[in-house]
Amino acid sequence: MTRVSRRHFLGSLGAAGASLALTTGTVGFGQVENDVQAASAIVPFEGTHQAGIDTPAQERMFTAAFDLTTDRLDDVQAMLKNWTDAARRMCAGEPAGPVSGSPYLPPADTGEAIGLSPANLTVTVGFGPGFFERDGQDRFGLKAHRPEALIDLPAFASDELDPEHSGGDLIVQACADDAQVTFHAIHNLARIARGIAVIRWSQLGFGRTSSTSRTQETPRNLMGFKDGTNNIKTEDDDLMREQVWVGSSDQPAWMRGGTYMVARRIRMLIEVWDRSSLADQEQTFGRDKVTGAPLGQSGEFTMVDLDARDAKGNLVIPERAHIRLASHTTLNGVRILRRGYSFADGMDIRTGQLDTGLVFICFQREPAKQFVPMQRNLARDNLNEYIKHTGSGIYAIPPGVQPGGYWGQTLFEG
Amino acid sequence: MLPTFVIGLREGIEAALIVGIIAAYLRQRGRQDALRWVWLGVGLAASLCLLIGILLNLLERTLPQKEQEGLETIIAVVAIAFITYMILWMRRHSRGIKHTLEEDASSALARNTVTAFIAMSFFAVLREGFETAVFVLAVFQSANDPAAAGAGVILGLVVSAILGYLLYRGGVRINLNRFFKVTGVVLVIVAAGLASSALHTAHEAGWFNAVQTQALDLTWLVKPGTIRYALLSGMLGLQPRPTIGEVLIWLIYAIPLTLYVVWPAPKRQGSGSSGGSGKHKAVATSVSAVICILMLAGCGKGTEAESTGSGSAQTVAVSLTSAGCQPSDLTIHAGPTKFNVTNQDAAAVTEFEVLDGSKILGEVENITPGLSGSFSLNIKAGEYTLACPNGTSAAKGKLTVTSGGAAATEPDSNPVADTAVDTYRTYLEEQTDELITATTAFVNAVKAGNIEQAKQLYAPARAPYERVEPVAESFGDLDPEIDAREGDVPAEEWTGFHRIEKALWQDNSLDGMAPIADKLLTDVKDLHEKVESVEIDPSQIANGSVELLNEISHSKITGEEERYSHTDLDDFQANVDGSKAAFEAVKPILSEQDADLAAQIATRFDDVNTALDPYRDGDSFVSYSQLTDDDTRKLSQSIDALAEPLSQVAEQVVVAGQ
Repeated sequence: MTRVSRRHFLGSLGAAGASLALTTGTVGFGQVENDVQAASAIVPFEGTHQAGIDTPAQERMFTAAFDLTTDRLDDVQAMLKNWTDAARRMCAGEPAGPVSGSPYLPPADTGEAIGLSPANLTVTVGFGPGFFERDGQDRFGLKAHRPEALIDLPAFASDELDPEHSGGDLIVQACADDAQVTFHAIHNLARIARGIAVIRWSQLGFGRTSSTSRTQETPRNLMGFKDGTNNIKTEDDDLMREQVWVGSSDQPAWMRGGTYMVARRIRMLIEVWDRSSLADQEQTFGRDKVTGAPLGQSGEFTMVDLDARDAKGNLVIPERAHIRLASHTTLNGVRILRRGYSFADGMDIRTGQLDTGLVFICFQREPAKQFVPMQRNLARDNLNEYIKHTGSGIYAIPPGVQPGGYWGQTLFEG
Repeated sequence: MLPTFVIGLREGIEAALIVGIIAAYLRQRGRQDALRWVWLGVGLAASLCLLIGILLNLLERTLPQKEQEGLETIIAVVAIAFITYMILWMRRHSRGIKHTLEEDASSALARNTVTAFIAMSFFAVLREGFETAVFVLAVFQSANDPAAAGAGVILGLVVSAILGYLLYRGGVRINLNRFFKVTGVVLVIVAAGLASSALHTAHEAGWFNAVQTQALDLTWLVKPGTIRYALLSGMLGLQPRPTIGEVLIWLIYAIPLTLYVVWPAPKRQGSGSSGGSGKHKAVATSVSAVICILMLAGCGKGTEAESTGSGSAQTVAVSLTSAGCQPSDLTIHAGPTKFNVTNQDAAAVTEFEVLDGSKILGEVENITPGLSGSFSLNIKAGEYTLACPNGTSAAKGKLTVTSGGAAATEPDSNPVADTAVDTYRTYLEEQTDELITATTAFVNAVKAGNIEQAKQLYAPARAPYERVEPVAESFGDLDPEIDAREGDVPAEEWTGFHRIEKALWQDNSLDGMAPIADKLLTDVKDLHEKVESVEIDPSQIANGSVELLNEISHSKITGEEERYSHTDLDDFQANVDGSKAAFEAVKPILSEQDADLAAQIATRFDDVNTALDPYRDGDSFVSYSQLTDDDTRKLSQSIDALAEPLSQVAEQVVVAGQ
């Protein structure tokens, strides 16, 4: 029998114990970390600005447009207050309404988010032109408060707009890293709205198609290209102030700290795209497909050289390439904050092709000077051979909710 | 205007001289009374010639475009023959005219019948009249401003009549020698221009396809739309972009004949004098000199274009590393080159490309660690880029190709490729010809306010356009001007087919459409011009065949193209036909590379046409609005099935060209 010295034995016991402690400690620590992470997957609901605009873009989105069926302003105000309460709770990871457990009542919260992390949920609400006037009628007495910047969008070259995917008196954008959480948010707000507003259209978005923060990697759209490289990033405070937020001396006063949203449902003719050569695809966008670098340059974030010419004197980035026409340098410095998502909605039964594409959502201070000229410039875009705009909407996004306040307070009480 | 004025003037003076000689002779013989029959004869001759001119013009209008060009060619050639004969003959036999005329007059007197006098003057003037008619018609055809040309000839005749009368009365003296010399030079130059444009119309008629290379770019001088253009092209027949053939023929005709006209005539009449043979020698020498110079110029150009054959092929080894391309700075010589690409252990770098600007000349992909691949290029001297995407420091590299070693053959010295391009170019020209004819008929119905007829002629006018639409799109603004739908362009800029479509089918009124119709015809003719000089290569043709199918998928299959007339299926068929024509042009190249793919594509084309059969209605189709979602879905999916394999053709065609 081998004589194990006492020192040896104690030593190995100690070593074993230490490693055990270390392991459990790590595991335990990891657990704590997870909890910390879970806890911090909350985006503050209240603030100067609404969340969901300069928030780093989450992975999923569910947006719904509502039409008001009431003609009483009181009803609308009450609904907005109820909406605010519900959203405040849901964004904190709580149920939409107090859970009483009474068997005689339908549950105050629909339940599909139970046990799920808040997943960085944000809910953003806006008012469409129809909220202020319909067919010229001043439905709620708010016509005088309609912001001038809330224009009726003009027709554009690649429009094939379907009224079923366009417009809406109210818009609600719910974004989170979990699709179920976004659905839960819209679901509960729609329920609260019953009798006062109905859903006009809704759109589920999977996969973000832009980055709003430098910490995020540029995602790819369903055409396989990196999308949103040149987007305004929330870290660019100056740009946000200049191009996105309604300023402290802008009119109307109730919109200050808010912004304007333009939403466009862009259908991609993916079957046609698939059979285009790589050269065609890259010349359409003006970028390398794999790296995202501007043609002829290297590095995705290299500043685009729109004047570069090749040995034969032709422009390297074609005249009608998308990044040229959408570039702020071509548009006198105009920029927008993009926050779009990919969608796939079954089939177009007329053609047997996928009904899929990009929900293009952008925020800006003055659509008439930002989105409209940009979209007009894109009338000549090479990309137009592969896309159609099938839905459109423009909305005034009011400023953020204050503690104890509600959506639209500045309009109703301002 | 000037050419027709000069023609009218000269022929008129000749006729006046003839009549003058006859009149003087008759007066001499105391038979002024016969003069009125002489005038009647002249009048008859003039009327007949006018009638012939009008008939020829009308005949031409009824012909289809190609045959029109053919007739124009014939008329131009006859006119040139006349004037050449006139210049050469007149010089030698001007003295004899008086004698001949007096003889004719005296035999008429001898017979002393009215008919005799009429006949005499009729035939005396007839040749002049016929020449005038043909020459004027020829110049008319190539004139930019027919109204001015018409005014010119009338003015010329009027002035000549006045001058003739004054001459006869003895009130005016003209140096006839100088008159004929000067007008002769002008007419030679005009005839040279006619010869040039005759060559052009012969090509349009499909009779003459050689030597069509553009020789000169005279657009700086002859700018369409300017007065200078009207003068230079009207007077001298100068085109903005004359081909070698047109330039050659202009010079070959103009130089010798001008010399002949201005050369002083021998003092003594009669051939055999040294002056005469000397002149002939001079003309012969100048003609041969001109031809030789041009041949030399042509030959020199030819040598450059000839290939010097292939030399030694070279192989270049490239490794993919995590840095990127290794080496990243290459220098090789021009000629057939094989790139052997290997990847030892670069996980992120799996692709190697050789680029000319942003155009990929050759590449390999998916060369993961442990694999290798290769491709070949016949590369010309120049600077190129190497690309190894995802490399950390050498994702892009430089490739310098020196001349020396083997000269690479020019891509277009590939006869199979040349044939493909020629075949397709002929198709393009045929289609744009048909487009002009059909659009003319449509536009005429629109301007006449005939709604029903315009509706009938709408789809047939659109078909040739839809067959070649991608080529039209490559010319910038022409496509939106011809084919934009409502909302594609700002309302005040909306022109073209669909604007008229809306007027016909939705507004049911053609009010205000006349200028739109005129512009459509102008634009369609402009397209025809541009198509003649567009550069195309086989891979573009192959791409074009797919683009035509993409057109269907984008707007025809959804009924979005013909929103008011619902003739989308006619457009659909035209797009398919155009796609098939493009495919057929490059099929010989493809069949060499991949016969199976060619066969598969041919079958899929048949499938598409079969899928369309249920909706045919005579030469046309039922209204799109009659199709159900099921119907359109099947059609759409048959297009997708065809377009996928078709999208593989361009690459095969590029590979074949190397």
